[in-house]
Amino acid sequence: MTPLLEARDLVRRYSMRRGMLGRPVEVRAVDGVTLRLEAGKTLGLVGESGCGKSTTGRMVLGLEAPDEGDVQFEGAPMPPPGSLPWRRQRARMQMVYQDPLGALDRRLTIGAQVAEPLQIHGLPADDARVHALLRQVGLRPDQAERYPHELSGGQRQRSVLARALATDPVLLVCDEPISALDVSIQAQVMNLLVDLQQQRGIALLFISHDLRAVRQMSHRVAVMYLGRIVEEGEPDAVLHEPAHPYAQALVSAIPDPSRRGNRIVLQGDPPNPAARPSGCAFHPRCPLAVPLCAQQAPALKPRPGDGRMVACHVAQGDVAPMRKAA
Amino acid sequence: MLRFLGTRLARALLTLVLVVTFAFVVLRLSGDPALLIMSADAPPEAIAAFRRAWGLDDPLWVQYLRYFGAILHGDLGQSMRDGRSAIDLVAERVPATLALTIPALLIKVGLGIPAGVQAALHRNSWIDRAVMFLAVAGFTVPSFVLGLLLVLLFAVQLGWLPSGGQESWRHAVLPVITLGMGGAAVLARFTRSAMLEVLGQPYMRTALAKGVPWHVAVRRHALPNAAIPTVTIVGFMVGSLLAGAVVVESVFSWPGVGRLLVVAVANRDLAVVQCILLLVAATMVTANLLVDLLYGVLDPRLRISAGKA
Amino acid sequence: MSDITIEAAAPAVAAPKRKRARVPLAIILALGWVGLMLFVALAADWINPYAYTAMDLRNRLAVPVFMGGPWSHPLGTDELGRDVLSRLIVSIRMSLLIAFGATVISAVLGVTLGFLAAHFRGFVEQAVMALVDFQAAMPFLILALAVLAFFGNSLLLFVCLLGLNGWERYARIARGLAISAAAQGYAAAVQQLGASPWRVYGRHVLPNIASTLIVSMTLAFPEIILLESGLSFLGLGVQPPGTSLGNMVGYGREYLTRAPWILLAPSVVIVLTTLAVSMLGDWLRDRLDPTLR
Repeated sequence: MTPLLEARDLVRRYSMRRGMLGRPVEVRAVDGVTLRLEAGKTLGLVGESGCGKSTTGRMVLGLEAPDEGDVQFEGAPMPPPGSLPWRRQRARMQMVYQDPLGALDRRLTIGAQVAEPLQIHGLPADDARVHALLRQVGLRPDQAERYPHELSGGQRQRSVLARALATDPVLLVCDEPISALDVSIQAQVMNLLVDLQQQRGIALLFISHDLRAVRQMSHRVAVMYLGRIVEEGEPDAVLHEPAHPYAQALVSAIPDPSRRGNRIVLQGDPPNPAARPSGCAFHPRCPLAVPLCAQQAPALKPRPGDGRMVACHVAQGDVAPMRKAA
Repeated sequence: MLRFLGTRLARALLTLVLVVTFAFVVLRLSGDPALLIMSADAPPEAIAAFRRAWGLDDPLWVQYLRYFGAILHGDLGQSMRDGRSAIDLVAERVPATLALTIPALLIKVGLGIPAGVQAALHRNSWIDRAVMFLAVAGFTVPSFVLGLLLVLLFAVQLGWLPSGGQESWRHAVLPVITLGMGGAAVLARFTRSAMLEVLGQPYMRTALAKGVPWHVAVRRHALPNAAIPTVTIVGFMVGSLLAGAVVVESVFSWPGVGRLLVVAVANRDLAVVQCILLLVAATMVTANLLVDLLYGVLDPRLRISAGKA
Repeated sequence: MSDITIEAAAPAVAAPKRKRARVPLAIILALGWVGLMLFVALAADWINPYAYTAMDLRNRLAVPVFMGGPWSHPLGTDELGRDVLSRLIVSIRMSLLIAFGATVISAVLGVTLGFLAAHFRGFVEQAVMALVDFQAAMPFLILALAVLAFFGNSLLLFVCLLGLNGWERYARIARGLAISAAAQGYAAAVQQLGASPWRVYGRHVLPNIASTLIVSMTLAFPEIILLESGLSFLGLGVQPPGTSLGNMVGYGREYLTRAPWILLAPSVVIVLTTLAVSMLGDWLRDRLDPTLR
């Protein structure tokens, strides 16, 4: 069976100038990302800010064309952004944003904005349809008359969700959908997403830096570091017994009373995509790094033995780790 | 710094090229030069010969390049009225115009900037109110109305000064005042708002909190920072030294470039109009370039980032 | 990352709650004056005591009422015995019409070019910005005079020409706001829904920047009135038998010593109208859009 979505070796480069007249520096925001997503499943994408997970999400949605690699949606390549087929395809795939207030037009009512995708794609956009959508995301039909600033953060995110669901999409990319919300609201929105997925069979690409949210939501998890996926697998495996040292550090940072004292504190500077380290990008901060790590970038491949996907010379057992003083 | 200058210079040249292109396009759009110069009932062979002689049959881009070449050689055509070269006609009017605009510029800067600074330093005082009232009046009273009112008062009613012409320095007094007042008002308003913005900045508060006396803080921190936007306006005024007196010269029958331009436009004397257009553009572009240079001196941020490059 | 967006969102929530401040007296007066001018312009044909070209050769250079003249010509007559009040009324209509037309043209042109620059970026943006620089670097009066010299004069051309004044300001504003709208999210979000660029700019970006544009138009309006009256004063704007405020001043100037009222009446109207509109513009700017300065 072909997966709903398949992205191969995506690369996205930006050129950045330092100061007004500086020489442009090439930044590889995404550097060879491959991922696949089955219909009705959730893929969680984890990593710290600036690691390229949002850019990956935008390329998967076809909002940006990759510089290298390609994206296949339902077995067909992505049309170029902005073209007519691309615009038609928007009905099949939608996005949920980190900042719902920014994603909503302040001058239109919620109802008008939920109706908008229906109008754009020539579907019936009557009040009944809009009210049904609002109810589905847990809003009251009378809230259709409200303006975005009159709603709470959680209600705004529900409105964005209602708008995204209007055309009955098969793929939803959620870019940090809960990180701008209060903690008490986060769980509600996540539960809503899970319910909607079960009712409608939507595939989700769930981008977040919140490991617990990703563990709760995902069927599979990919961990990104500086534009590359360093580990991928079942959430239980990746988020409980990570194979990659970076994933281990991330997981150990979750406060957990039963694992007291084992926290791995990362050394060195946070990653800067403009000055990418040679070899494995993580080696300057890695507690297990060996000389090979600075020379050769490890590939993401199944580990001999248990077959887990990890990009690390040490985890793959190619070399013995060199424990630095922790 | 060199690179900064280079981009500025390139932009200045681009603006000049745009002006020349503008003149060429407008000239070509305004009608067939052959028909404009020959009478309408001229025999077709004569028109064809004329077109061949002047290269009007060549492709447009060849004509454009030739036009450009002529301008680079300083050949700006002849006035249709007396057949003299347009550039000579314009050049002999330049001193008269400068005799009005330079003193007027001194009034604008000498009156407008201090008034704006004082108004900002004494915000909401009577000084501020008076300056703002005069500034608004200076903007809303058009120069021809102000000029005519001055004539009515000082020439007609009081008989102190002549109403027009260019015989002595006394003839220049009213036009210079008319020109200077309007500009001073604009400059005062602008300087005031630039100063107010600077005075509200955190670094001013920091300086005062450190115990720097008020007048020192104003001199060392506020004035240099407020000068940066003000320089732009003054630069524009310097750039329009040649062109800024069109209306006032007409009011006072002053034989300067502006008066020449109005007469040339009324007579559709294209060569003269085009010559003035290019001259004004060149002055304006030069002034803007000087302003950019001054920025480099006034704004250390530009200096540093340019120096790094 | 998330903290920043929360902070940015917070003032936006508070923004629509505006305090209802009392409208200052000066603004009420300015509004009254603008209203009067609009009424005069719209009702010109009905309130005119005389046809504006009708000559009364026995009553040439009649003195206005406030200088002791007869009530038959409240503002006096000109050198041909034409009623100054009637001419003033028609001139107000002409000047306002030209200024309105030119303001709208320049706003439409500027916003269109600004949106094009923001939408296509790259080469289109560079080209638009070069034009903006060019326009901002040249004194507009000179450009206008050059065009008039090359093309001659007609009312339509004159309005379009004045419409070229100040478009670069709208272009700058529209480009900047459209780019920030795309970066902010709502424009990008709507585009992502599959909306055509027409829909994105027409239904979303334009209404969101409308208040800024209206303020800029109010601030540009007096400038156009001054430009129109200046060119007409020089005899290069509205051509007789048509008349405008600047025109009246220009022709009245020859009778400055004998009949100053011919040019005083239109001068007063020009000054009061530009004053009233620019006061309204400043006030609107302070109330609706404090970022625009």
